[in-house]
Amino acid sequence: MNTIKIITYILPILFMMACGKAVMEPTNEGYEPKIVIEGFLAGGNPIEDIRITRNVPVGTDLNKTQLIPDPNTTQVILTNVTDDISWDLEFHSADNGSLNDYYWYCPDKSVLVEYEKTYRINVTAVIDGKTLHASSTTTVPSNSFKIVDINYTELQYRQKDDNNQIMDFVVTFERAGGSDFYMMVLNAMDAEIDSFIYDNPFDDMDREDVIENHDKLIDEYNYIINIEPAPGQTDFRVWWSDLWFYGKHRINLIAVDENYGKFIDTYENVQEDDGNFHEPVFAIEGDGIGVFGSFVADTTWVTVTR
Amino acid sequence: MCRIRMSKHEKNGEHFMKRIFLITIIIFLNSLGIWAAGGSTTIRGFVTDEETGEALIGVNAFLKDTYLGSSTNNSGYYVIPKIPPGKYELIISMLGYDIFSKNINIKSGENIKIDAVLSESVLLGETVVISADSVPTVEKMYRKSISKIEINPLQLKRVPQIAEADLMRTLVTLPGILPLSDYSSALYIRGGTPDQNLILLDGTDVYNPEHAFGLFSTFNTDAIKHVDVHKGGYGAEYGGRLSSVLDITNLDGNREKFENTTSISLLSAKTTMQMPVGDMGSISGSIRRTYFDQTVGKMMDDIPEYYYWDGNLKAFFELDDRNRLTISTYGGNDVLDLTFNNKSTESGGFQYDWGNQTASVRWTHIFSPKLFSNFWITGSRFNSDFDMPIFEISEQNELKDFTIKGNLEYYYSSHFSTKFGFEQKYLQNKYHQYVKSQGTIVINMEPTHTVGYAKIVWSPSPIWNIETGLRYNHFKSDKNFNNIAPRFSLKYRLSDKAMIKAATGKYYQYLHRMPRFLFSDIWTVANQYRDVSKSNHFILGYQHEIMQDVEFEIETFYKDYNNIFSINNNMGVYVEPEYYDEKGYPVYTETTQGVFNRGDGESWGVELLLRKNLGRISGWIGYSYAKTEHTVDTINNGRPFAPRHDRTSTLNIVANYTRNMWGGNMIFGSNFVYSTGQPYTEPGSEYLIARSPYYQKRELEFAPTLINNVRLPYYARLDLSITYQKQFTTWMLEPFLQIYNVGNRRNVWFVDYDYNNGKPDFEEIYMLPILPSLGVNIHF
Repeated sequence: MNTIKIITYILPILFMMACGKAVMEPTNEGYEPKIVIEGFLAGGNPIEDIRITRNVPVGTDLNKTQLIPDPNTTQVILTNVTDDISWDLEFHSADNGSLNDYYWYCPDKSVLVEYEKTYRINVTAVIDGKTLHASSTTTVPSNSFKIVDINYTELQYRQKDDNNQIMDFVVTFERAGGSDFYMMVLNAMDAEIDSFIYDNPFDDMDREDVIENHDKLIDEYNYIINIEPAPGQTDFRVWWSDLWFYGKHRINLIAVDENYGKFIDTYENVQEDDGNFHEPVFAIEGDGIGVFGSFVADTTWVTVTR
Repeated sequence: MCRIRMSKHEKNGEHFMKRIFLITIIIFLNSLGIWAAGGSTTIRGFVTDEETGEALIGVNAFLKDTYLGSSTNNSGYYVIPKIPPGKYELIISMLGYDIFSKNINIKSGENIKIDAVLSESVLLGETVVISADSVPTVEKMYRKSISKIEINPLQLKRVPQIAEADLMRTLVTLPGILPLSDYSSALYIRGGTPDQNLILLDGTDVYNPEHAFGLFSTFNTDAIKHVDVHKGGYGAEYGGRLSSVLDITNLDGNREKFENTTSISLLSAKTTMQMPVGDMGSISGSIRRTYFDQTVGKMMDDIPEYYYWDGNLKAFFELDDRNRLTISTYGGNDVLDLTFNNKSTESGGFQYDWGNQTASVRWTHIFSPKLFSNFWITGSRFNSDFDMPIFEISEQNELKDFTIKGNLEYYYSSHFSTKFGFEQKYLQNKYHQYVKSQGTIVINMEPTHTVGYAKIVWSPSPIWNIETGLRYNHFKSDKNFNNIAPRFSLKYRLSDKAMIKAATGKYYQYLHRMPRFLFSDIWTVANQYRDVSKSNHFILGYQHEIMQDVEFEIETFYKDYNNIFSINNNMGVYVEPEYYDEKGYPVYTETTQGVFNRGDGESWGVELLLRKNLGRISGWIGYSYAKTEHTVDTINNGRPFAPRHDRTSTLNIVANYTRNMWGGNMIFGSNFVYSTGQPYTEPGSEYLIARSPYYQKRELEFAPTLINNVRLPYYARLDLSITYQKQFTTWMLEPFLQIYNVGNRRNVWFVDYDYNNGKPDFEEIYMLPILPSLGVNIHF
């Protein structure tokens, strides 16, 4: 009976230990100050819209302009490595509080990003009282890239052909020599709550869901990787699951460099299915995160009818 | 032809070496007592259950007041060789059975066959209290290998579980064996990952032994006869995995009468039937199916159609005194049919099914009383099929294993026995994935694995036992691997009640399992780009019989890992296609690199186990303190980190109490677990960035840097069960209530981070809440 008595005493203790709600408090032990580079060099365009910001501990109440390191102690140098030419980039600011208006640019507007040339960015900034350095190098894709065809410019939503097969928009493009990563950015130009395609086989969304997620739904993107780098033509299919609204859609097809490809493929995909996090791959050396990449783009349009 | 003429000195030298070699052999053989063969006797036989005729595994057979004895192997066969002439009392006993005793007068040079039939010590229904047998606990402990745990069906069924008894979920109540979460039944043994466990069902490899996305194991506990778990340091007869062995033997079948057990729980219905086949054998079969899809699933719109089933069939034939034949098959499948938007006029979703099929034929042949053998032909197949027509995505994943193997046991004397065998595996590894306008993965490999092994068991005196063995592996894929794995273990009696045990060995693994969340795992093989995985085990243990039938053991272990593989979460960045199709899309094959992370690691720890098998109160208390560290080039900047399954301290308390009530037995079961929180990676920091120059909006993103450097809160859970057993004249009723997580503790699984109005928001995602379940077993 002694054993039973012991169990009688122990069981409530075990019960007390095995009830309640565990709470997780973020520690931010993994925080290290970093320079954040957001730089996309567009082949054939001026050098501009390079944004230098900083990271902050998770949960920080963000004032977007406070993310910008002091321009007086920040230096951004861009070098055309191929031709050994450097530019001290200048800071552009505005007072409307939008990060879009804070960027670094080359004051000489006649300087254009050249195809197949290699560029290097060097950034120095003071963050949390520490002087940090970050650098990255990109090679601009070839200007051989262009859209050569699109099979339909207009389709009914999930239209079927004579064989009862779903018809797709397919964009055929000429590959950029040396590039193996292509991204399609879709913008719904007629996106309204009422133009949303509620009768779709991909997601059960009602009006409230559409209102809540409207900004995310109007801009979709997709990409294909490891495409043959040699010259030739490849098809890029427009997934119906990326078209949420009836009406006109702008399609920007982009050939991106290796840096940009690594960023796109990994920067959002840091939380695993079991909830744990892993590192993204940034092609930035030193104390930097983000992207310094280059691209060549072409545009086409499609319309989805009811 | 030219013959080299040897000089006189050379000849003398050769003769000298031969003489030294012969003398060494003679001294060794003399020390084993081999030359004393004349005039001694061998007793051997099979031990079976009186009620069912089932061969009994692990039964102790010994001569009273001597150290002469052995235990039955997986075929229920025992041998006590080299018995000097004289009068003895043969005792054969097993937990829960009456003792078999026979006086024998042994004369010189006799071979005596004594088959023993053991009857259960108590009738079902009167009490389920397991009575003590006469074999001292310390003897049973001494005969058991280091790091080995034996589980019988009764113990399996007594641990409270979700809905019904589950083999894997019972095993994680033992020290050194951990689950990853409540949602997984996969076993992490002494820091090893589930792919490092060799799982054998009636001698056949089972590759993905999980149902319901890992929630339950594929083994129906009603069909299980015996389970051996080797947590490490196992002998040369096992191999091909780095960490551990789970050896499951299913019921042969009742040779005396028809027997049926039917169970219904909230999860599934299952039935197991056994019956004799004439005088020469028996047949048993079981089948189980979940019916969630047919009940709750019919009433709710948003529940995907999902069910699983499994079944096995086993036939046993005693051909004659020397030959037995066992045919065993197993099959199981999970079927999932998911629709994304039930309100849409066009149906869109995916179908996914996966499962295992195994089959084996075992021929047991007794060449001579001392030479016992088993030969198998086995086949095992795991496959999964995924089809999502709406996106034109499909995946086929298949692993086939056809094996021929043999195992021979030679019992020379009580001091000396040997085990040797061979294994020839033909594997087919196929993985095809097709995504329209994206790319194709085509993996086809057909490796072979050839194994030869030998093990010597030597007991120079009653207080010493030494096992040494070698296992030779030849694995052939697009590269040849030749590896020799030495094994060594010893046991030493410190006193009448205590002993120490030690083991070491080298282990190789040529198959790598790549876990995927919700999707069935993919197996891949060692090749020119993925080297063989290696591990060294070092184990030291102390065992003590504290009192009659109360065992205490403490073991400390260290093992290292070399070349362990995991899926690269950023594989898109690293993979390079082997070639391109006509449209320039990539095609990946078995030689594609960048899919996997290669790493090394180590685990060490201490485990304590206090176990009581008998009496009204039985159960165990287990504690383990362990550390595991991995080092992977592409993770954590190459710095060591603790993997997700690492838990520093784990305490398990399993207790069962049986009481006679209301004309039957009331069995109360409890299972408590406490463990240190799992390692976890925080998001590190947040930053704002646009995904392309065409987006004017920037979103908050995370930049994790330090991998698994913080811990989740501690994990704790208490499960309770009540089972009432009522025996009627010809049948038994057993209703049960199980409450999983009775305290409804919300154990954190992970933390989900999201954004609300541009600000990060985090929320704990919890593991399973309180889950009561009812069921009933009917046995006749």
